[in-house]
Formats: sequence, structure tokens, C-alpha cells
Amino acid sequence: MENYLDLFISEVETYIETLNKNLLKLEKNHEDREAVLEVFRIFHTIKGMSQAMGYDTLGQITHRLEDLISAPKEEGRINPELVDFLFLAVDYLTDFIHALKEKKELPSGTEILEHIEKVARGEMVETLRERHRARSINEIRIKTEKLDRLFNLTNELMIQRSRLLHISQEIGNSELTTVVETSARFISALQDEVMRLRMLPLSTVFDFFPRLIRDEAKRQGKRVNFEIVGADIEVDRSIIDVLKEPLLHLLRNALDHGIEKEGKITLTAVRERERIRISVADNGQGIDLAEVREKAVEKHIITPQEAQELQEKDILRIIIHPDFSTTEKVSTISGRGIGLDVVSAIVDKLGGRFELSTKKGEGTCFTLDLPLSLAIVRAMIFSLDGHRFALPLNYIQETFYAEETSFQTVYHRELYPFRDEILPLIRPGDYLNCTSNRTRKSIIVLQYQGRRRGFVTDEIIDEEEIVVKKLDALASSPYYSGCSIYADGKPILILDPRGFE
Amino acid sequence: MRILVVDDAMFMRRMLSDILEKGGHTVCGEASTGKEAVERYQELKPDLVTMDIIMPDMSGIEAVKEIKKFDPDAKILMVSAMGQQALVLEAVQAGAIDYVVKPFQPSRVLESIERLVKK
Repeated sequence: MENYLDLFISEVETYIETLNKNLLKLEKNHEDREAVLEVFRIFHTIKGMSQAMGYDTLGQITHRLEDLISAPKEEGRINPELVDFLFLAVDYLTDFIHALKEKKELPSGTEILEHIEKVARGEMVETLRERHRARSINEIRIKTEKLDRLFNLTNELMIQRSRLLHISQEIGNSELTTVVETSARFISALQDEVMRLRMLPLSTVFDFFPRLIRDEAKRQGKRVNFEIVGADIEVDRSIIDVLKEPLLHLLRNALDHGIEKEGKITLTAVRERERIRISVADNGQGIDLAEVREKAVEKHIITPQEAQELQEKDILRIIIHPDFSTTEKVSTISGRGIGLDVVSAIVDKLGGRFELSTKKGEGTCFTLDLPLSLAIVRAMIFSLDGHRFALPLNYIQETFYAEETSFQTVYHRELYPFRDEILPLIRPGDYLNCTSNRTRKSIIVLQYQGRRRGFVTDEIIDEEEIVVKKLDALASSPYYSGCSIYADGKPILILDPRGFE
Repeated sequence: MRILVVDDAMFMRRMLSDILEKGGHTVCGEASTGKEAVERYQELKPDLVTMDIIMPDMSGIEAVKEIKKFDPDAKILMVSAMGQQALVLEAVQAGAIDYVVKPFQPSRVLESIERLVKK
């Protein structure tokens, strides 16, 4: 089959184009007999090809689509709502081919098949109605790659903007400064608009869950009242793409361990300025601190002595520990951690925060606090031996000065007594070959994956919004998450604190 | 046997041609529309035609009729995706001898051809 794959892909790609062209024709004139015939014929052809390739789901989908269009084909006219739906079907086809090309997991056809059945019964699908409404007021369809190109260009422009501001300030000509500052405002506005183009409503992911919860609750013999709040909030496509997995973990957790026989699970999204907070709450028994203590000691995650001091606020740090999650399911608390280490890692990668609040007898709430976009982050710029680096602000809790002489070493590990805690220190300079003999250090207190660490730097320079660029050359290094261009036009590397553990 | 393969999808023509050639036959030509099929038939006079049903410009059934007009002894095997059984029947009435439903098993295609040769 492998040698037919390329042919399959390129031929279906051509069909996708023809489908779009004909659907657009039908949108203008739903009595275009030729176009209806053409659409029917293409779905039919793709059906045969998919079946020959063994893509049974796609075969089934195109088979049902063919059924949907067989009456319009006879009549030579098509219902505008059906045209609208067929655009969605073509989107699925596009995703399918894209996945084939990228050798990724093929998109599940469950949703589109469900939609087809609904349409066949004469029902309208929720998202359809919205799309339909939107399209009827002069909407155009743009390929996501084109949008990405536009987005990259505006990012380049943003970098030049910072340079321009920097240079014009140095020159100090008031006329020049006025022009540059006005241009800078327009560039920012342009960037905002382009960012907004890439936004999708959270319902894109959320809509997937009610069915899943219903089925899973039924399987486990539980009665769950599942509620979604804030599904219409829009976030960047890059965030949407990665949200599904962590939310799935959290919802499963709530269902498996939060709810006993009957209860309520709420998935809530709230926008707070440039961030989005998504929480999964259940009204179950809550997480029992005593049980967490016991398990954590048993699993050698903490010592019995540490367990004595363990408080409610420390629970999250314990249950996201990879070793915690391997417990057998013997009590309500065991298994609580399944997948939570994964969730925590994803949230970190997105530049977010993972939070937990739980009260015995009242329930548990996990919250993901995420940026609206991954492309721009607020970062702290600091120097090490004259080199500049950036650290995303979401990891940073506070900063302070300290003399190197006050550092303490215990078991080869440098520590600093800070307020009422002992802060383990990390010297990124040792890993990056930038050590200086400066003794007065700026310590940046970071928190990630439930740990607190002090990053030892020479000097803190600035706090700035930077455009993150992924660099393939950096991918193999654990220390960097990307790079950016600083206001003076020089490149700056963005550190990933987790790489220094 | 010299066979003319008619299908609107290049992918399908390739797959079918491979099966036929592995089975010891020669694919003497290909066509992607009904009209082209009729022209190619007149030009090549193949021993057998495999014919798709739903194609642009002229359907496979029309093409069967046209070919039969030109050569009443033409041997035509319909190859169609499932779901178009009514059309297959129509094609048989128009003069096709047998049909295979996609996705086809190579053995099933070759068997049909053997049967056609004996007739």
C-alpha cells in the first residue's frame, strides 16, 4: 500500500480543491446542477480510493456523504445548509490528508460521522449554525499556513519595531521619535489584529467532552452532572492544539476519583487579561491530606519527618510526582495522580501554572493558568558573564540580591537560607560556560513543577515582552526553549529552567 | 489479454493496472472519462475493458452503450465503489458482463476476468 500512498495523497488534494471550488459555486447558486454532480462524483471517487487503501473510517464517512447528496444530485439543487455542512466535511478531509502527509495520527471520524447522522435526520449541528451565521456575513476561508506566514511576518516587524524605538531614542531627534513612536503603535495594533485572526473558541476542544463524560460515567455506573462554562472564550490556535490531552486527564481524574456515585463536574474557562484560567472542579470528597502523607512516605517521595510538615498547599507538589501516580487503585486517593505529572509537564511547557484547591468533603478543583498565546511571552532579561538571556516571567516569583559568600553547601548542593525556607540554588552559568567572578549576585526565585529554585545570575537587566521563535538547532539542548531578538537587534536565548535540574 | 482500464482516479487506475499485470495481463491503455474510454476503445480494440461507473463528462454506463454500439462483442467488466448497485444493474443491462465492487480483492478481479474469457 505504501507505494500508492503518495498517489492517494496528491490525488485527494486535487479533489479537495475541486470540492471547495464547487461548494463555493453552490453557495452562490444552490441550483447549479453541474456543481452538485461534481461534488457527488468526487465523494464517490474518494470513497472507492479510501476503501482500497483500507481507510475504513474515511470510506464510511464519504459513503454517508454520498448518501446525503444523492437526493440533491437527482434534483439538481442543494440545500444551502447542506453546502455549509459539506465545507466542514472537506475540512475533515483536509485534516486527514495533512495527518497522512505528516505521518501523524489520523483524525478520528467519530465527530463528523455523528454530525452526518444529525444532518441526515434533518437536525442542525450547533457549530454549524454558528459557522453558517458567520459565513453569511461575508466570511472568507483562509488556509492556516497563510495565516501563519502573515503571523511570522508581523513578528519580524515587531522585532524591528523594538530596534527602531531603541535607535530613535539614542539619536534623540524629536521629529524622528514622533514618527517612530506612531509607527510602533501601528505595528503593535497590526500584530494584535493578526493574533486575533488565529484565535479559536475553546468550544473547539470542549465540545468533545460531554459525550466522553457521559459514556465513561455510564460505564462506571456513576451519575454525573457535567457543566461547561466559558466555551466561547477565544484563545490562540497553538494553545487549542495542546489543551485536549491535559483536560482529558483532569476530567478522567475527576470522574474516576473525585465523584463516588453521583456528583457534579464543572469545566470552567475564565479570561483574565492576557491569560486564561481553565479549571476542572468536582464536588466529591476532596483529597485527604493524611492519605497523601501516608502514600508519599510509602513511595519514598518524602521522609516521615517531611510528611509531618506537609500542608494542604503542598499536596499538588506531591501528587504530580511521577512516582506517586504508579500506585494501585486501592483507595479513593490512590491513582489520584495518574497523568497529573503529564498535565503538569504540558502546562509548564506552555508557560502556564498548574494549581490545586481541595477541601475535605467539598471537592477538588484543578486549574490551568495559561497564556492566551504561545508566541509572545513576558520575560525577564538577565546577564551572565556579559551574555544576555531571557526567562519567561511565568516561572518567576521574585528576585533578590545576595553575596556569594552567604551561600551554603550541603552535600555538594548550594543552598541559600531565604526567609523561612532553604532555597536550593542553580548556577545556569556553569552549564552554559558563562561564569564570572562577580560576587554580588542577583537571585531569581523560580517555581516550576511544584519546586522552588534560586537561579544565580549576575544582573537583572529588564523585563520585556518578547516574541518567541523556535529554533531547530536548539531543540536538542535541554537548557533553551527558544530564542528572540532583543531591542538592540541582537539575538537572545530563552532559558528553560527545567533543563537545569 | 490486452486490457483498457477506465477510472477517473489515477490512484485506482494504478492499483488496478498493477493487479492486472501481476495476473499476467497487459494494460494496453487507460482512460479517465467516459468519452475518452470510447475513443481509446476504438483506437486500441482491447480484449477487455474495466469500467468505472461514476466519471466526469460521460458516465460509465453511457460509455458501455457507446462501445457496444461500435463493437457488440466488446467485453466490459464494471468496477464500482459500493453503494451504486442500481447503476451496476443498469450497466449490465447496457451490455457489461460482470462487475467488481471496490475495494476489490486482486483475486476477485482476476477471477472475473477468467470467467469473462471463457464466455
